[in-house]
This record gives sequence, structure tokens and C-alpha cells, in this order.
Amino acid sequence: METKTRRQLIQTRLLGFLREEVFDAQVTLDEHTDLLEAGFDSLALLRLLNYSEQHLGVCIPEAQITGDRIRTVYNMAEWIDTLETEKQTGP
Amino acid sequence: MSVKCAQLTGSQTPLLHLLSVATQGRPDSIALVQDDIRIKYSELTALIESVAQDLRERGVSQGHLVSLHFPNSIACIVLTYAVWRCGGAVVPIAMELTAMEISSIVAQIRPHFFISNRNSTRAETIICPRIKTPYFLEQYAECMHGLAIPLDPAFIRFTSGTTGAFKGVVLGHTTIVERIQSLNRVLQIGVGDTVVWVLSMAHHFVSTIVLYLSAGASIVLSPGFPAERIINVVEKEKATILYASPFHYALLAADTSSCKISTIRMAISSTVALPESVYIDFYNRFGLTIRQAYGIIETGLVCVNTELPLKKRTSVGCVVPGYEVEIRNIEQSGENEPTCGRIFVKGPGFFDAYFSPFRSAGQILDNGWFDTGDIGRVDSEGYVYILGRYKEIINVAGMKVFPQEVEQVLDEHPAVGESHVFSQDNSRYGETVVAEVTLSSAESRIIESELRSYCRSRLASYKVPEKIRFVESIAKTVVTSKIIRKRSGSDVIQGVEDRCYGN
Repeated sequence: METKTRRQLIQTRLLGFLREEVFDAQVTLDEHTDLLEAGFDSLALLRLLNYSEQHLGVCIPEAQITGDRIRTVYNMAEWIDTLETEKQTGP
Repeated sequence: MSVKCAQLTGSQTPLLHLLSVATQGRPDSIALVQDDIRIKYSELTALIESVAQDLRERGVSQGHLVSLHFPNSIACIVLTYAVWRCGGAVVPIAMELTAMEISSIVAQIRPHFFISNRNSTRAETIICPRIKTPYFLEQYAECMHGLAIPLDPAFIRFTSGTTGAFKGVVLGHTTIVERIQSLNRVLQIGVGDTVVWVLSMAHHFVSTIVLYLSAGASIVLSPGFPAERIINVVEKEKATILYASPFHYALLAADTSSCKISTIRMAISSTVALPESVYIDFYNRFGLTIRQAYGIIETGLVCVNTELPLKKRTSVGCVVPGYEVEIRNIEQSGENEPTCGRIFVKGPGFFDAYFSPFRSAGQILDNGWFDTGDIGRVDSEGYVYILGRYKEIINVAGMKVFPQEVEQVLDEHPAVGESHVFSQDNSRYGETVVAEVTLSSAESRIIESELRSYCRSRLASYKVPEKIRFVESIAKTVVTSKIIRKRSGSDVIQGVEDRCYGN
């Protein structure tokens, strides 16, 4: 799968997950919404890690979690896509 | 920190008195920090008085129940103390609850007032002075009942919004004072301490926030992640105490910077069991031991591992002085395995009553002993080890989920015949919620994602089953037809992988 296409798919799925499972319906989300400003907290982060592992097949290492990487869905998708690429290409 | 409750007279409640004593000792010392806002103790008490006056003018008074639906903030702390100043009892409403759950709780407890950070058509907007935070106060006209005054209720925490598990743990002022005084004889938190706070105040407040302020410590409100933010806060504020969950410690342990957080003298872990790997990683990273603590809302923290956190790192420590622990219904799981059984505890500061249906603690306790619902053992040196739970409550990252509540929601779906909700071990959460359901008829059609979505519209996210499996039937006992509840980890559900958002 092309990187751009896969990244878009990850982005779409993340948006769906966050809208369905994390944020209230009244919160408007798009790929560039500042999630931390919107109320993304440590419980939400736990759920994201679980979702990524269970449904995207990508295990997010706690050591690599930074504010910028999870600040927007766009950033998250880019990062998760990178993790997936690294997993596939190996050392 | 000490108070002789019998000597207090007038309008000053015991918890306000403790804060007053702390303020007199250090009026210009910082009590609360949030972002750029720093509130001194003298300012805090003035702020509480001012907000209490605003509430009093709007009718909040002795014996009133006030629901508080507010995120972690200085305002949340001020509002809690202000309600107490008016003689009311605070009923925290967690921010993650759905509108349906909140309505259910409100319908059950029938509070006199509802304070929220969200506006509604019937609410009055009031601005909290100094910190300029708006809050929205709504008064309910109907049912102005009051709790039995001898209980002197300060706090009522509800862990469920539906029938079957709806209790409401009532904590009186005197009870809370006893609880925090006992605990602080072990923790020794005082005027020189600065606590970094990352947990949810809706779930943690009495043995923590109230204790810290009563002891004259400073509390710095911090985001719970990423690790670099917590570390920055610790270093900036020269924090001495870290009180967090295993998940926070896992994030911190994975930090790759060179920061040492060397000002921390005590790191306490609570909410769920601390994985030994997290303990070791955190120790290797920072050279700091994590002290596990154990307790529940009915009892407070009854065990804290302050003495041998390294050597006995999987233990929650010895019981806090003044408390007793007893292992009952002893079982031996294997030939060389230590005996274990159900954990009962006894001591000061235990809850006063369950709210609904109302039952006093005397009706619940067995000669002062409380059944924790946990299984554990005590070693020869008195160190307590929590091995699991025999009651049905699911512990998701420290938040309780009653299976019956989730089952009720599932069972209400027209496509569902019957449901069985139970726990599944999860390395990050401790436990997660999973479910088995039967279809109501052969013609019923529904997929997992639809059912989860349906649950999400009715339940807080942590209560929604992570996985739902469709089964032919739910196992029940032969005699009573009660559902045979599965234990966590005993049956891992793989689930039907049709949860594809956006497809």
C-alpha cells in the first residue's frame, strides 16, 4: 500500500475512534484539531495505545510519546505510519 | 496536622478548620499551582469564603447535596471547600460520564444544586474571583431532602449510575479527618512538600487533595502526559511528592532525557496494581523507588509500602498503624504457594453509610470489619500482597465498572437477548471490560461495532466493552439461573474484527 494512502486510512480510522470512543459528540474534530486543547487526557491516551495495538496492529512505545506526536490526528497518523514502516523494513 | 473535633463550634467544619490551621501556619506559602496561576494559602481561604458567600446567596446551605461536574482545576478544589463552608455535601460527577449517566445519577440522588463547567439553559453563570473561572450553578426546585445531620456529610461518591450497583459512599467530615490523620502519620507530608498531581479529582480527592492542603503542602496540577511535561513540572516546582498511577510511571520510566527529578522524596502508586516491570524500569531510570498504596473509597488507603518498597516491591506494604487486616476463607492455591484468602480491613475513617438504598456503616460492617472484595495474603513480616478480586467489580485504570450496569445497557438493545460482562487482564489498564451476548432472535442482525457504538452513547468510555463476542448461550448456574461470572484473564476474547472506523 502506498504510504500516503495508508497514512490517510490510519488518519480516518483514528478520527473515527476519537469521535466514537473518546470525545463527546459536541466536540468538533478534524485532523488538525489540537487534541490536548480539546481535552485529550491520560485516560484517552491509554485508550489510544490500546486501539493502536488491537486494531491498527501497531504497538506505540511509551518512550516515544511526545506532545507533538499526539497533538493532532494528522501528527498521530504520520507517526503511527512511520512506526508501521519501521516494523516492516526492520534494521 | 491535628484537630480535636469535639472542640469545634459554630460554623467551621472540621475540614475547613484543618485548612485554617494550615493557613495560619503559612499564609504566604503557595497552596495551589495551575499553569501560571499560583494561589497562596491566605488567598485560597479568602477565595473559598468569597465563593461560599456567592453560593450561600443563591441558597446553598446546611445539609444540601451539591453535584460538582468540574475538571481538574483550582476552581474544582475551591468549589468543593466552598460547598463545605456552606454546610453542604459534595457529590462529584466525573467528566467522562455521558449525559445519560449523569441524568441517572441526578435522578437517583436528587441533589439540591448542580455545579458544572458547562452551561445549561437553567443555570446561572458565576465567575470565580481571582482565577476568573466561570462555573454554572443550577438549583433543583423539587425534593429538598436533607441527609441525617449526625452524619455531617462532606462527600458522597457514586461509582455507578444505574440500578444493581448504585450505592453512593457517604463520608462525613469527622470520618475524613480521621482518615487523613491516620494516613499522614505514615506519609509525613507537611509544609515543606510540593505534590505533583496528575490523577482525576473526581476519583481521587479525600485521601489526597484534602490531606495535602490540611498538612500545609503545595499542590501543583499537572497534565498526566507526556512524560516530559510531568518531568518539567517536577523540576520547575522542585516537587517532593509524586502521586500517580502505574500508567504514568510507565510513561516516566520510558523517558529518554537525562532529567533525574531528584527532588522527589516519595513516589506513590495507586489505582491499580503496579507491574513489577514498571517498578524496575522506573527505578533504573530515576533511582527512585515507587511505593504502592492500597485502599478503596469505603476505607481510605489502608496500606502503603513506605518501608521496604524495593525489597518487597510487589507488596502494597504493611497496614497503616491504627488499622488491621485479616485474611479470611484461607485457600491454598498450590503445594508450594502461600495461603491466600479474602481481605478484610478494620480501622478509623471508614465510610459512614451507603446513600441509596440508605444503609449505615454499622449495618454493613461486620463488627467493624469491611470486606474489600479482594483476594490477598500477608507474609510473615506483615506485608500485604493483593492477588486479585473475587467480587464482580472491574477495575479499569482505577475506575470501577459494575458488570450489571453494562449488562443492563446491552440487554436494552433490541437485537440483544442476554449479555454477560466480565473483566479481561490488560497490561496498561489493569483490566478492561469485555462482553458476551446472545441475539434476541434468529432474525436479529448486529455487528460488534454497532453494539459498541450503542454502548458508547450510553456509558462512559471506560465502561464500554473493548470486545464483544456473540455466543449461543450464557452459562448459568443450574439451581438459581444466575450468570456464572468469569474471572479476569481466564478467557481471552479475540472478538469479531469488524470494528473499522471510517470504512
